[in-house]
Amino acid sequence: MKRTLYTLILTALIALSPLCAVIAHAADEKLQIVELTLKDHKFAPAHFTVPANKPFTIRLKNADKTPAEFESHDMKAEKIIGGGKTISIRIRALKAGTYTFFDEFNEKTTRGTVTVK
Amino acid sequence: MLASLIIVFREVIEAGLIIGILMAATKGISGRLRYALLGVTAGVFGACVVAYFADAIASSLTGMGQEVFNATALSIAVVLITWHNFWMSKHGKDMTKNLKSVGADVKDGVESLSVIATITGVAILREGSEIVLFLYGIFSSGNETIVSMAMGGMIGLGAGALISVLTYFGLLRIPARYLFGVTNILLTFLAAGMASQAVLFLEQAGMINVLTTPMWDTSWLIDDNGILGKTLNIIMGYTSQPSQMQLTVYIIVILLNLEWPKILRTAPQSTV
Repeated sequence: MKRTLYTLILTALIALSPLCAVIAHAADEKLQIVELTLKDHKFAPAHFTVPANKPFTIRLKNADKTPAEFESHDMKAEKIIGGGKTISIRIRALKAGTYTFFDEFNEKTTRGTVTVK
Repeated sequence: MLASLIIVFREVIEAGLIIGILMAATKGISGRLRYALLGVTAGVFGACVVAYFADAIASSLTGMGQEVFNATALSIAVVLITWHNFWMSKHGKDMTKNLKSVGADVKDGVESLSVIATITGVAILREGSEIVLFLYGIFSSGNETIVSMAMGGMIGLGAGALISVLTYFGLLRIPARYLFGVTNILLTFLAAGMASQAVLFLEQAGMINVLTTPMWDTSWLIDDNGILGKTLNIIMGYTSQPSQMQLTVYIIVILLNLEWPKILRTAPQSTV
């Protein structure tokens, strides 16, 4: 019984951790907001610049009717956006350099870059 | 067609791997195929439901519902895989014995099987909802005919199922006495990777604000975007710039899975 109890407690702790995070969710810090629009499967602007070592938020408006998935490997972002919806994507502080993002559903053609300096 | 094929295949790789490993890890428990199929069915159904409510999920929790949903689904999988490894530490020896004497199935594996069904279901649920949305997008944009979309989707799914089968039969080539040891380690790294990804989602949602600094950057060695990087990401959660929290959680899950069962096993059994 003891083992089962340990296991239960441990697993419960892991399972609850996202929930605790929700509760601990502090009010949003003031972050720079970059506005992007997705229209006809193109990002506008397809290129923007942000300062280095500061987190920022991308506010993406999907003007298309189809859903898309904003994704970036090097900025570590992944988020689905429904047709006609607007979402916010938080990006961590980045080192100087060039980063890429794309719509995972149209990876070849729907792309954009971020210059961080 | 190619677009649907690639996307569907990419999303099912992970679920395919998990199912293959789980089937090998439960070799010798009777009725496991039925439970796995149950998990697949529930997962596919759930994926459609999640896709349908995608917008509602996304706009909940001040716009961070999707991240929390992903983190929760991943956490559930981590917990259940850990549970399975604990269960194996108790029953693994009997199961290995049974593998050697052909035909003798472990009969009391039902509790483990329902966990298998759930892990399978959750694995499909998360990635599957993306497939549904993607296919819906293609469908409503009218760029591809339904037939070509369905073809691409089916071939992609078939390729994913093939991964399950290959993983399963590949693992079965391992001598019986090592089999569960290997699946145990594979599942452990899979779980650790999922846990680290769950942390990433919570960081993206702004709900984890401590220890978010990247530990290192190994993108010069293995690129996240490359085939090797992506494969390692699925198998063991590779990321070129893990945050401190990601690494911490990763290590905890590995220790929990590999070491804790040993500690419990050697501990005096007073009440069991």
